This record gives sequence, C-alpha cells and structure tokens, in this order.
Amino acid sequence: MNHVKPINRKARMVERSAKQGAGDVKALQSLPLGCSLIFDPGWETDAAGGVSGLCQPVEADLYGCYDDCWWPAQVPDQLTNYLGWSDSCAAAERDWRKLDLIYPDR
Amino acid sequence: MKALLAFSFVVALSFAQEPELYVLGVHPHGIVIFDGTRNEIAGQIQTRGRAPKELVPSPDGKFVYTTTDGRAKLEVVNLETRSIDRVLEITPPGYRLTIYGLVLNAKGDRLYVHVKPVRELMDRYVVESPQIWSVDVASGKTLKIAEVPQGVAALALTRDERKLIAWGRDLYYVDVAQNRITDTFPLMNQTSPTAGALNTLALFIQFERSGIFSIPYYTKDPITAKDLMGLVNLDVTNGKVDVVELGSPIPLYSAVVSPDRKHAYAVMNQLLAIDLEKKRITQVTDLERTRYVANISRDGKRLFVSGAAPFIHVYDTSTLQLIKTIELPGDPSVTSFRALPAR
Repeated sequence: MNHVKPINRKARMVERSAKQGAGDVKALQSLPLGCSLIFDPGWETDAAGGVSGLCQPVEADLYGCYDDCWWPAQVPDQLTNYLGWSDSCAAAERDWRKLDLIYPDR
Repeated sequence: MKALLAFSFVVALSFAQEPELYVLGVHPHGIVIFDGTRNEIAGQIQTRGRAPKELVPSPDGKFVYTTTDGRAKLEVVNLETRSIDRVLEITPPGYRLTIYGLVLNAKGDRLYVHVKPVRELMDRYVVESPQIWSVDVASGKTLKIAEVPQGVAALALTRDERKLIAWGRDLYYVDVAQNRITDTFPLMNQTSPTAGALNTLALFIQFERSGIFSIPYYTKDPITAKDLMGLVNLDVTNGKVDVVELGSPIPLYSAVVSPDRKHAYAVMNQLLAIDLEKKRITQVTDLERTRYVANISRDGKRLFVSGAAPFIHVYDTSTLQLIKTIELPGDPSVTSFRALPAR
C-alpha cells in the first residue's frame, strides 16, 4: 500500500481522513428516551428495551421516518432514489398493502 | 347608543360564527383545511411537491407557505382559490436545500428560512454550513442573515422582529440587524455541572394561540442520576424561556399551551394535561394510537390531536374525553398543524 499514491482530490481526502481517524462517536444513550427522539434505534425497542415507548401501530409512524429520511436503512429514501415509493398509499396504517416493493439495482 | 349596541352585537355574532380554521399537510400531496368549529374537513388542496411539512399562514389568513418534497420546495398556497399560487425558487443552481424552520414577519412580506445547503458537484456533495436566509415573498430574492450550528429544527421571530430564535441543540438568538448570533440559551450544552443536558425535538410548531412555543425535554439529573422530563416554554413574543420540570419521563413528541397560558397539553402515546402554574401533570389518558401534534381551540376548550395516522381526534380539555374522530385522506406524518388567523 505504500506504493499507492492518491492522484485526485477525493483520494487525497480519503487518505487524510484515514490518517486522522474517525474519533469517538458518542451516541446519546445516557439520555432516557428512545425511539426517534434520541438515538433513532429503529422499530426494534425503546430505550427501556420494551416497545411501549415506540410509535403504535408501527405503520402510523412509517412516513414520519420516511419523509425526513431518519431511518435510511429501514425505509426507501425519498430524497434521491425512490421519490414515488409511497404515492399510491396515502395512509400507511390503512393502505400499507399498496406500498411499492423496492428492488435495489445490482 | 342603540346603534352602538347593535353594531357590537353584530361584531360579536360574526366573531362567534366565524369558523376556526386549521391547516395540516397530508401524504402524499395535500393540505387539509380543518374547521375546528364544526369538527369537520372544510377543504383540500393539492400541493405540487410531496408531503407538506412546515406550514406558516399569512397574517390575513389568505395564504399558507409550506415546505414539500423532503423540505426542499417552498410553495405558496392560496387558500381562497384552493390552489398553489407559485413555488418560491430559492435554491441556487447546483444546490439542494433542506428547509428546517420557516417564519413570516407580521407584515407578511418577508419569510425567514433556516436552510441546510448541499452543493451537488459531479463527483461529490459538499455540505455547507446551515444558515438563515430572509426571502422577499414578492420577488423570491434571498439574503443570507447568519450561519447557525447544525441541528436547528425550527425558527421563531420575536414580536419586535429584531431577533430570530433558532431552536436546535440550544436556542440561538440571531440579531436580524447585526446578522449574527448574539445570545444562546443552553439546552444540550449546559454550562453548569449540576444541570443535565436538555434534549428537545422542535419539529412540531404551534404557538399561535398562546404565543408560547412549548417542546418537551428529557434529561438526566447529574447529581441524582434520575431521568427527568419537562417542557421548555419559549415565549415567542419576547424570547424569554421557562423550563418547567415535570418529573419522571413519559414519552412525548410535542406540546401546546392554552390561550390563557395556564395549561399545556402534550402527546405521543398518551395525552397529558399539565398545570403550568403548579408545574405538575394533572391528568394522563392513553391514546388509541401514537399522535405527533396537537393544537387548541381559541377558547381553550377543545384539543385537536393529529400527526402520524390519518385522523384528527377532538378532545375536551377539561376532561380529556374524546369528542369526535375525523378521518383524513392521508397520513399527516410530521406535519405542522397550524391555526389560521381570524379574518
């Protein structure tokens, strides 16, 4: 690897970033409330390890997470790739079967 | 004297009969006008972009400014013609904007927006500093006011219009004439070792009835290590802040303060009634589903609860009893739920 030299600006930025290290990433787990208020853990559990602190029913919270792209791994993103993903489903709790399926390009 | 009495009666009658109107966005392309007097939907307007988020009514109640398409578009909604008048083109070429924070001056000719600009280059995106711009409503021309730290979600403007208040990890007071942050009220970045960080999510903005922008906070007491919650109440008329501690945490998204400023109501999976004078929770009731946002009637007697699923629930504020459920055409999601000014 010592013989590999960055030749453009992006590569130099990657090298600089690798040398600097990422530093500590501190989540806000010391604070008491889960769900999207603090750490955005997704739909799995709330801060107490239960589900009572999460949104109910889960479908009702779908667009709350999709619209602002808080959980980009769990729902398709509406900013770049899947703009019309949910256009045929006005209300997720009522019409979730109308949501399109997403097949990422390989 | 009789004529004066008759005139007063007519004025009082017209005020009493004038419907209380509210607006909220619905998925995928709509704004709903809700009649809070009759508890029914009064109209729907199709937006050009998806999923309206922030909504700011004009002082005369004829227009609403809203962000759509992932908070990237700024649309001017004409409530009289029930259509979109125009889209304010404020995005510079080669950029993508995300708008978190929108407020209008009292005259109604100048918007202030908090934008997060991203420069889209051929090979990469460059994230630029979040900043507050002023927007001339007539021409759409923008002027940079000041840069602000990351994390700002909402904007407010003091009554004298000298200070913009940006609600982020802390409250930043931006002097409009000096074009810079002149003061900060610490929320997350507490300066005292005895004060825990106050974590807030200022996404739900409804203070038109009371003039108090109220947001729930969560913290851990650094001395007792106890988890606590409360309300951060920002008086948008003068910028003063009151932190109301309420005890052990109950998950909440947002709160609204009654017109007399004596009570607050907060929602998520429960609906809470809070006595702001005694600084305590007086009543808690379970909701049938998660709600993000609430607004309150002009007389403070009815609470309109919505957000997330496609319903508006009307509650009696004195008993927290459900009065009526109104089905919406789509999910309101993370929309604002604003009261329109009386005409």
